Amino acid sequence: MTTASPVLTIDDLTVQYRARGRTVTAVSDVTLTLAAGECLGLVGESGSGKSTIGAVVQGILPADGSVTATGAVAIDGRPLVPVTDPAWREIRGRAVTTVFQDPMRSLDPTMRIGRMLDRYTGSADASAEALERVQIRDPRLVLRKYPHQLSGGMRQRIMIALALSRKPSILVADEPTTALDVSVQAEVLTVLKEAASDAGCGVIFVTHDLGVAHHMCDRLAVLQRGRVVEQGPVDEVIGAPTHEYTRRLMASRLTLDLDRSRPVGPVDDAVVAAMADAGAESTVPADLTRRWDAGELTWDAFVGETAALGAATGTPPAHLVSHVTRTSLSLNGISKSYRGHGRGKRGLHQVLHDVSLEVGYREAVALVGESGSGKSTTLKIAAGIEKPDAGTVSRQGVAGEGTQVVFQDAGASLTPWLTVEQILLERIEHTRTGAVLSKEARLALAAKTIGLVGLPPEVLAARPTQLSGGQQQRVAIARAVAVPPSVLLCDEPTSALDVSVACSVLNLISLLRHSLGISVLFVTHDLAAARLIADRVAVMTAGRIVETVPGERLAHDLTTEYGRRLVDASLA
Amino acid sequence: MLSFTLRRLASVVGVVLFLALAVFALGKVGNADPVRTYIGANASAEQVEQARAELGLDDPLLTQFWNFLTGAVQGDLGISLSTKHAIADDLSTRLPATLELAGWALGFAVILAVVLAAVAALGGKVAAVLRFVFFSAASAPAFLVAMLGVLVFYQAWGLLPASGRTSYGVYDDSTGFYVIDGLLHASPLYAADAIGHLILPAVAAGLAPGVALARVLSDGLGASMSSPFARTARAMGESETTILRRHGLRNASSPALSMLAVQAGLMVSSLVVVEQVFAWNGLGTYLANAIAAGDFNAIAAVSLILGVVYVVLNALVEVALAAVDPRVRLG
Amino acid sequence: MPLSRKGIQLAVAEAAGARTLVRKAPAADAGAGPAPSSPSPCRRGADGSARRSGPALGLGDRLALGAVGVVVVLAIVGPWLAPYVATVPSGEAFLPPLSDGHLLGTDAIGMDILSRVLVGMRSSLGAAVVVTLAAAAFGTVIGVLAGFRGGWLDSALMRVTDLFLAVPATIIAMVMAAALGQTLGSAIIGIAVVWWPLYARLVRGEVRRVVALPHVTAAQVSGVKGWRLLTRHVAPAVSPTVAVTASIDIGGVIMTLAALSFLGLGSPAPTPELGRMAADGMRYLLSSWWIPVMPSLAITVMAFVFNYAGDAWRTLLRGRGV
Repeated sequence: MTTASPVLTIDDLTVQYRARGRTVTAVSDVTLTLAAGECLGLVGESGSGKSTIGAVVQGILPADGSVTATGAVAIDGRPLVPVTDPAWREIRGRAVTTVFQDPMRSLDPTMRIGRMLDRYTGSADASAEALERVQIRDPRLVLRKYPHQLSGGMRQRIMIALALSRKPSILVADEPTTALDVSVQAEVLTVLKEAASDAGCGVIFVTHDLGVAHHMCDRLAVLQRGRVVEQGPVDEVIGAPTHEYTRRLMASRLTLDLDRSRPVGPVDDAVVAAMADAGAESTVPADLTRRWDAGELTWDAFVGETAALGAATGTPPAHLVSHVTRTSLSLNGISKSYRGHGRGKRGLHQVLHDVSLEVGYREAVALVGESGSGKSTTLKIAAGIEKPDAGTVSRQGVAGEGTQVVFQDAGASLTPWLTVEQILLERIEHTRTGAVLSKEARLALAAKTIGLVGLPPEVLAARPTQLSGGQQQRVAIARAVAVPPSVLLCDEPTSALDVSVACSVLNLISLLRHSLGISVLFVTHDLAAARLIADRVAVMTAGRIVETVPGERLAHDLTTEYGRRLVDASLA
Repeated sequence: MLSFTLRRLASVVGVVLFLALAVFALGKVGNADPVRTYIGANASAEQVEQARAELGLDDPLLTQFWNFLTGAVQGDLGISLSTKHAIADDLSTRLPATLELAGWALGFAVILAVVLAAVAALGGKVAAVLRFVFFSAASAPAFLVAMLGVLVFYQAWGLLPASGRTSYGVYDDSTGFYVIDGLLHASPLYAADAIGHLILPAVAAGLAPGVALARVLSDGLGASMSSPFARTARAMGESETTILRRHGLRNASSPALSMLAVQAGLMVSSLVVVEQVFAWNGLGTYLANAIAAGDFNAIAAVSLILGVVYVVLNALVEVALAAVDPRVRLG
Repeated sequence: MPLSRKGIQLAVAEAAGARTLVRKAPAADAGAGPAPSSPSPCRRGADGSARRSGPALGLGDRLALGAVGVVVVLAIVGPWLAPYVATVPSGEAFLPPLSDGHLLGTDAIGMDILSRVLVGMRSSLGAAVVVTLAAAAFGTVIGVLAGFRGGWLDSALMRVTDLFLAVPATIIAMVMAAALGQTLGSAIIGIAVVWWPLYARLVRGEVRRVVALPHVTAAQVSGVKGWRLLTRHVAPAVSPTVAVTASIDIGGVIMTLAALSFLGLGSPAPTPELGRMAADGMRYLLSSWWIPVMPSLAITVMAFVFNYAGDAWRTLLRGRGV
């Protein structure tokens, strides 16, 4: 680690945004330095101001008065007034370049890679060399391609090559791998680290992911609400965090060695209490179960009895129904193809090959894979959203109530113009067991469910857009379990959330699963989350389930090459 | 690219057939009596019989349609009920007149659009004023623009002629395009005079399409200038003008091209109107006369020609789009 | 406990600890949607309220909306405001504007232009509204059927729609109007016949877009289907677009009607029809310019007001992210 003269110093930087008469302070009193060849990580959750610092260093904040900044910035020893200095124009793209988060859209779709790169490298040969430096194997071929013909990882390498082609003193990497798959992520990070250190430029690495920061950075600055709460060499910050917020972030990290028997992250007592409260009520009277098991009851009679029971006690009958089933969901030999471009057989793209999967009564199964592995398609077929080309799906439970889904983007999955109460009531009305309830009972059930997921009753009157991401996901879960399904299907429910919020949502799913006695099929790209939630973990790649192992000893038990790669990527 | 072009070609044929059928059918269900239009209201029953046979009206409908279709393909568009000439002959001088005007109008529209979009890109107060101008121009019927042009540039200032295509005669070997005639005969005066006659009609017909095009172009520029790839270029140190030139225009050109095709279609009605105002002896005047005379044969023929031009133009635009945007071409 | 909307937000805000949201970047370009406006990482306000409020209406937009009101009222009550009977001469011929008793002058046979313009505005606006409503209604039904049902019905309906879209609309309208005879009614039918496919395309595209949104999938998973899914989860996202398009289209239809009427495809004189008045007045352009110009200006004002206000409305909705 060189400690030569710093390429970047930031002193007492404060940045404010002004919008509609209101001023929001995004960064306050931040002081940082970056030495040549050093990698400084800016770590924090959304709204922590980490990206704003990155934008100041790039000089891309609008100088039209909507952003005001105080403090001093110096790049290569050259003092600059933040945001408004006209000299940013010379800095931008020369002393400082950037790799952005979104590799899909950050490259001009109408331009070949070669044409983009040649402008900065000067010749096709130099462009090919630049691509070789980011470990692209067939640079001449890639130079002739358009961005949409390349994968996300390739595009991000090209972004890196583009950024480094200007031989900058500082490279700002703004969440460069957040949109990429885990295994691709590791490769791109390695490429970035090596290429930047070869070029000898300092790196400002903006990320929400402590693990990634640990892997990449020499020093870390942890940000919370615009302030640096802790700063130091990476091993010290990660190894012995001194600030409470850093410790909370650390506690929210999902790793492969967490204790699965306890809630993860900073535990929310209120949620735990609400859960325990809810769980106590949903047991099936023993004689009902006995009569069902003995075959004395037809399905309709059973539903009728439970409905009567529910009306009497205010307990939704479907809470009870799922207790009497044995296998909750089974997929047998599922195949699925989608029509892509092109005609006839050539245009068919098979995403699932003979997938079989069983989720037992009260069991939680995780389906792990990267994008394109077919895991989301499997979930859609399990939910009945998509029809399989071949194979069968069987769901237990009251007709139409066997499965419910919690989607990745909770905000988008809630109809924006309906209130939370309307959304919950609609779900309740559309179930066989909920439909028999009186209006008052339905309202009470909606209110009770909102409490069940740890939200205050005021939320019922709110519309989804008035809620935060974590709250939206809780509402989505409430909709799914208002009348509990036999299987709760979760499609990456936490991947769009900040780590601490993600932890609390994972805890919620875990606890609901136990208190309501429902089964869970949990689809994720995150091995650690899968391990935490699931009793069994199935690994999926290229449309096939390649192995299934118990959740507890996931890191040891995965044996296929692909499984090992996932484990290694998660450990890195 | 080739298969894409061929597929477009096939659909052009289909659409033209549909158009021909629609025009033919409308002529049959209409309440105008073609025979009376042809020979006048006082003709004897015998004359009517003769005219019916002459016009082929005694054939079964399917045969009539087949004759209409095969005739049209061979360049025989039937006989005008009002002028009693072969329509194809009537149109041979008028089609170039209209095409010349349409070409200049489209050219004016494109230039206007690029200028306005560039000015709008400057933003600020100019953009707000421009928006007002955009809407005023887009809301003025072509005949109003034409009238104001005549009042100002002909009557008040005496700068431009207000009717016809030329102040001189027509060359014997005329191509039908007078500006080209002037150039071919090395007569700048003749060409300049023809251009002078073209200015007012071309502006009247091209103003609204130009403004509409400018809006699409400037919306597209706005979208691509705030896109992530423009941000990448900005972070690479490119100036705004370079980003506009290298990335903005190219990405904004596809919606603008599609709009050009739409506007070309809408321009058909302005052309007809503008030809009327400026006594421009083209398809539009012919169509207007045919409408006034109830000459459905002529109406059908002109509609078919304009329709074919439009459909072919559209197909060309789509092929051009595929050439500009690799995503369309390569899927 | 009774809470105001603001109070709810506060209560909600306090209920969950770390609560801001990182949206994962969309996997692919969503197409023609509005691009994110600035690189500001602070797009949401501190409490997320920024997402709900779009751009406020500017002064020009307010004026435009007011002007729509004025024009509509004028068109409705205009004929009663008209100082003279519109179809018979009421004074000397060729009186210029601002003449005594004739604000906009008189035409070649001495009919009062103001009276004729007021009456003409009503029929013009009325016809435009009829055309737009008919086209929007029919197109919407087709579009919903195609977009919501999908499958073979979708392909069949869209084939037909595409045929109509591929031929130049004004030509078909002219031929239709010519075939049906010279009345305003045939011009209306002619335009409506060529205008509906635009709505069918638009609505189908919108329905398909909305149906693919996660909240609709989520509603389907919840057991909602059919009519209720359409009206409760899909239509509210589609209807503003249709309404805005229709309001803008009124301007376009007014102009198209005027062009047809100018070509003699409306009701014959002396019925006051703006396009026809302009066409008939053309021959006096150089001697008595007001005779053709005044009705043309009336058309322009009406079209302008609807175009401008419709666009302001569209900008507003786009800002709200509907």
